[in-house]
Amino acid sequence: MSTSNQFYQTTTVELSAFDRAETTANTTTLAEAVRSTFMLSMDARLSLGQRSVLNVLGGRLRDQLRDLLGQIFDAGTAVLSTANRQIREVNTELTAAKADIDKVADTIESIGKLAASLDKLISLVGAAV
Amino acid sequence: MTIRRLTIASPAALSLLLGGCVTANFKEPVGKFTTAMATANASIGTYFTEMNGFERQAYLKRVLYHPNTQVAVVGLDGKQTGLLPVFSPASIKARLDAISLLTAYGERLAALAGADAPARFEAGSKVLGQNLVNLSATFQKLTTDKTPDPTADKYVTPIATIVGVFGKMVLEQKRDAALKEAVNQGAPAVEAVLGQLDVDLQKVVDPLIETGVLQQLSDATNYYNNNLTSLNFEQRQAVLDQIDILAAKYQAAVVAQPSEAVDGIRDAHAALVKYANSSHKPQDLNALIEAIDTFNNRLEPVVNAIAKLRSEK
Repeated sequence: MSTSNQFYQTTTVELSAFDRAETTANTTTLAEAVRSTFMLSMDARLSLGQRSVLNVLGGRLRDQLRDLLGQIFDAGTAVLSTANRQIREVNTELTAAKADIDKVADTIESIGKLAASLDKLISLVGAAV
Repeated sequence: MTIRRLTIASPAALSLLLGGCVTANFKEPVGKFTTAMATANASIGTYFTEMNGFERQAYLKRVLYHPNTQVAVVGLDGKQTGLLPVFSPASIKARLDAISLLTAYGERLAALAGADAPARFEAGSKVLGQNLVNLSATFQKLTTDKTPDPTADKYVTPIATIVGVFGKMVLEQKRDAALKEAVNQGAPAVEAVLGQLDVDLQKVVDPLIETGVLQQLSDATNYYNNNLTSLNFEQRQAVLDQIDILAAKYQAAVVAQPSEAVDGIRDAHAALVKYANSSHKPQDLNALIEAIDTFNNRLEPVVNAIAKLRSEK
């Protein structure tokens, strides 16, 4: 299994990629603009025409937001792939550890059964002789 | 007198020996942690699996309420409309894999913590001892045809019992050491996964759903207002019913905090790591169980919010 240091180094590099994507796209501000635009599109103090324009504009802004969110989403995938590999390795080791201690218990049970079988066999042989 | 003293001292000596090798009680906390994590993971996974479906639905609602808009995969601006997946299936799969692996990690911890091998070893040793006594008696009967030697039973059975007790203890310690190692080795990766899922839910999923539902509400509202005079009573009622549903969904989306579930798992995981590295005193166990119970309480509203979001499509 790789060391924790190696893992953290990889993670840090990949998180930097994520930060870059986030810096490029200030999605929090954009999401707020989308919300405000749609809210205004449902504000009866504006004319129907103005509200319709705001509805269309809100839709365009949201499409841009969705594209940027998609980029941020993809940037995080590399971090997960590394971590997933690590967890897979730990899971394999956990299975092996359980199999290891089960084997000890299985062995003593088998020897016990063998002794019982031998006892029956010897009794049968003795009776036949 | 010396023998008597030794006999009296033996349980104390045994207890000292056992006390020097405190056995952890991983079974209960790991079991609780695993159950909680499986529930949380199922609810978190839903957000990711439905991302593209949600976008498709938002797009089709947009087309429905804008009668002059044609259905297309790519729009006039040259961008994906949302009809086909806009979020990379590979990225979604990485999230779902992470969730499945976390669940499997919890299940395997639970399987190891609940392994019955130590108890089976103890029972198996006793059975072996008894069978050896029987075997010895059968041999003696066959070879000398005399009454079996009672000393065999006198020694073999207690020795088998002692072997069983110590064997059980050794296996329990081996099991606990493996659990501690797995928890510590897995910790950085588990934390990285939970950190990333938290970021995904807060920075991607939350704004996507909230603005998406708001867009649908705005579309339906504008459609209704722009067509007030041309819609008959039933048609108006149908659109208003949709607006009602969308308003409720928007409210649910604003209230829902899916990242709360991840925060809860993080707390429960941190408590498990702390317990694995503790001296396994009763107070350590209580602290862990308390942390997991707190997590379960935090999870409930998240699961309810998801159910509400999904109830009306």
